Amino acid sequence: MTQLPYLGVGLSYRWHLNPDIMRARAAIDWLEVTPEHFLPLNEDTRLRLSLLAKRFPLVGHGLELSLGSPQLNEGYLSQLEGVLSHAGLVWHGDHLCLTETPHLAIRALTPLPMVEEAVTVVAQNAQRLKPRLGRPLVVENIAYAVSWPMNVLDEASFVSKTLVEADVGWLLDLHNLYANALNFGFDPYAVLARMPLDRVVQIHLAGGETLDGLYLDTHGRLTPPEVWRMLEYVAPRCAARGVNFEMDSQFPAFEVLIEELSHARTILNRYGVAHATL
Amino acid sequence: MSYNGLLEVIAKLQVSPPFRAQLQTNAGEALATAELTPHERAQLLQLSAETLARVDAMSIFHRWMRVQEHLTWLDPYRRSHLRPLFEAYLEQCPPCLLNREDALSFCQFGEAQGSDPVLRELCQFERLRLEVAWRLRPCSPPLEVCFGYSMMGLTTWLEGNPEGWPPVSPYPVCITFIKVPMLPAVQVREQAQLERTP
Repeated sequence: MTQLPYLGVGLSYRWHLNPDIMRARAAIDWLEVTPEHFLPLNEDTRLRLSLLAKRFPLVGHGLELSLGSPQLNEGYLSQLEGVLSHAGLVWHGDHLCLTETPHLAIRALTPLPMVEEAVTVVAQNAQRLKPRLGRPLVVENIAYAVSWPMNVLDEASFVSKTLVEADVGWLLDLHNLYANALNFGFDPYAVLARMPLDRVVQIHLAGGETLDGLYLDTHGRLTPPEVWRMLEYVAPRCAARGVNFEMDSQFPAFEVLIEELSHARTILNRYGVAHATL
Repeated sequence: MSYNGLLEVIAKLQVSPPFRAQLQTNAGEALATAELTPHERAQLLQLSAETLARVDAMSIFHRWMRVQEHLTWLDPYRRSHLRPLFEAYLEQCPPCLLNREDALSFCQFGEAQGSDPVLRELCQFERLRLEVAWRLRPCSPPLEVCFGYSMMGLTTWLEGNPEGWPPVSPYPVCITFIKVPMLPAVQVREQAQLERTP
């Protein structure tokens, strides 16, 4: 994974930020694009993707691979392949979760039961996907609001085993880990200490908010201080190829988003992450 | 372990409010037809009321956020006027692949099921706006549709007021939807029907 180019610090692309992103090109190293935002591929969306790809390195971040499902959705997969090949994405990420079963569409990032069989299914799906995606697959740890009673593995064991058995890169979402730690009362640093940090390809930063006693990964706030501290912990221990800030709502002035990127860049530079090899 | 059976129950928990309610009141019956091992069944019967309430709250919240991404005025909590329609939508319509499709599906549901004629027209207006913005229908020549109420007046009010619902009087207008090139956006031009030149 360290053979991948170092992209630096990027932003999750949202179309209404387009004018600001183009004006601030010098401060944004790369963009993370969500293929679902460009579906169906048509003349309009192809042109938009092409223009972005001319100006920035692009990384994919999908929502609907449903890696824990017993079978992959061929219809979605063929649309995804179209976006990936058209935009020349450097790598593609999706979530360690369930978004559909053969009988039901959930369309939400639903936690898998943390059991050995889920590890095996995700690993098998990853093996099938890799040649079709034509670029490295990275898998993200999700935030979850419930812990299933049938879980036999804890989060560190489940995510680690899956990444290793699937032989994929890790999209380490520090905010998701932070949210889970808050909601389920564990130490996120103890989890990070048990994780295969050598597999980290990409790191997500984001913010959330508390609703009815539950801390949610809403992507509606800036990165909280503890998540910055977690980045300080991880940066010297990994060779991440890109860090990006995700925001979906309640956007502040665009300059504030650029400050988030600048903060992340300072941390990565301090630890020489661009030149790290593990 | 019947992994597939387990996933089906988890999926149903996420998408079916009646199933969640049945799990609270009669869990044995709710799981009667699920393909589970006795051990899995016993574990699922342990799902606490608190966990089920969390699943319920999260699934509603998530679905709401998906639709609201494209229909920013949709807040069934601060606009109680919208709550019955949104709750009926959750009960009757399965989620779609894309957030935009979910928003379109909500609009179609509102057009068909909304009891308020203003809300029905707002749903129609928003459906057309999304379809033009995302090139889901021909964009040239620009689409022109007549409404019985001022959609610009209503949407401007909703943008400026995060709570409540305005009184709306009939005001026949014709609206032109003009696709913005290169962006999933639309320019809307509204003209009172009385002002229109033949």
